[in-house]
Amino acid sequence: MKKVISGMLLTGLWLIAGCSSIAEQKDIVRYAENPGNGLRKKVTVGNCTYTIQYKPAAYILFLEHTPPDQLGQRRQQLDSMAWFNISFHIEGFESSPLRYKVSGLGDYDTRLNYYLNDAAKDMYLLYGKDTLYPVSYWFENNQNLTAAETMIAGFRLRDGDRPDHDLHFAFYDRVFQNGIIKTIIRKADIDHIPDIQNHNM
Amino acid sequence: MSKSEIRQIIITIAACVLTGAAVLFILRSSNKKIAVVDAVKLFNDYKMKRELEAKEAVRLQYLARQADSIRQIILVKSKSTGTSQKELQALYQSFNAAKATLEQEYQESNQSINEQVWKRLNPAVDAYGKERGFRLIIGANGMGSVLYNDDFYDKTKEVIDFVNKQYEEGN
Repeated sequence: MKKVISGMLLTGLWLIAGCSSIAEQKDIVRYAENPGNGLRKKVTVGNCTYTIQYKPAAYILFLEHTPPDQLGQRRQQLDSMAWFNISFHIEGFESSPLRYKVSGLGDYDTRLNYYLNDAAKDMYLLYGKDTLYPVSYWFENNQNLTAAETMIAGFRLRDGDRPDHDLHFAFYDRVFQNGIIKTIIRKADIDHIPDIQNHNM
Repeated sequence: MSKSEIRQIIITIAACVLTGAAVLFILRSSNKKIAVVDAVKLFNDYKMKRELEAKEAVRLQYLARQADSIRQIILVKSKSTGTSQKELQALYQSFNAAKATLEQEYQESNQSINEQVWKRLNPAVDAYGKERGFRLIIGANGMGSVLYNDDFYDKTKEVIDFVNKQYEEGN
């Protein structure tokens, strides 16, 4: 009987521990997307707002729903990199920003082509004394389903898994001519990211 | 004079001094609500303007080199006796076209930089004024809008530091 009770207690504790780790994983998304924690920055120029989201590895792993057997491999791919989502939208415009004041199909195609192929060339990351350029870039064409567009950029850091300096991100948007968009993700804020790598990862 | 009379006089004098100091402080504070900023210096010292110019310079230099190459060819060919008038004319046409492209690109680039810079500077100066409690910020541009101001009103350096910090960190 004692064995049964202790077994049930252990199972209960294991379940509680499991649930809390899941909660922590969810928390990383909430944490990273809370502007107060310094990992999500907004730059507004006129009616255009750029949101720059720094994405720690745990954040990406959680949102990707990576199968447990692939977590280690995926984590290795993400480590030593600084990942950003750069999304932009036009205030009060309900369609894709690519359609904002577009003069025709040709103009739209030029814009789309810029974000698909050339925008990465207008991005850089100042990291310590280095100027880094994206080694990975993707434009999420949302086919006008939302009023925002998103670019994903990854920069390879040369030292360690976690950034060792402030990340000075810059992007020159040649389509909307809003000047150079800059923001800083502070090392102190990155150091404060809750460490959840030991929970099911 | 009795002690109470002396005390009353001292209190009155102290009250007068305090009131005077308060009035002076208020006057001085209200004076600070106006600032003069050298708009040309602000524009030229804005980091984004310099960075945009540096980006454009690469492209413009390439176009300038193209025009210069054609000019060099014209110089060499015009000295050579074997060059026909027709060939020279074609080269002159190419040179003029390259020069016109360069001038047009230069003007367009300047205009684009001006627009982008002021698009960012105007709200940044607004933010500076609101944050520091200024009621009026005058942009002096050397065209006679401000004929004289002393250092007390000149906030050019402060504004430049503010807008550059805001630019570097994002707003």
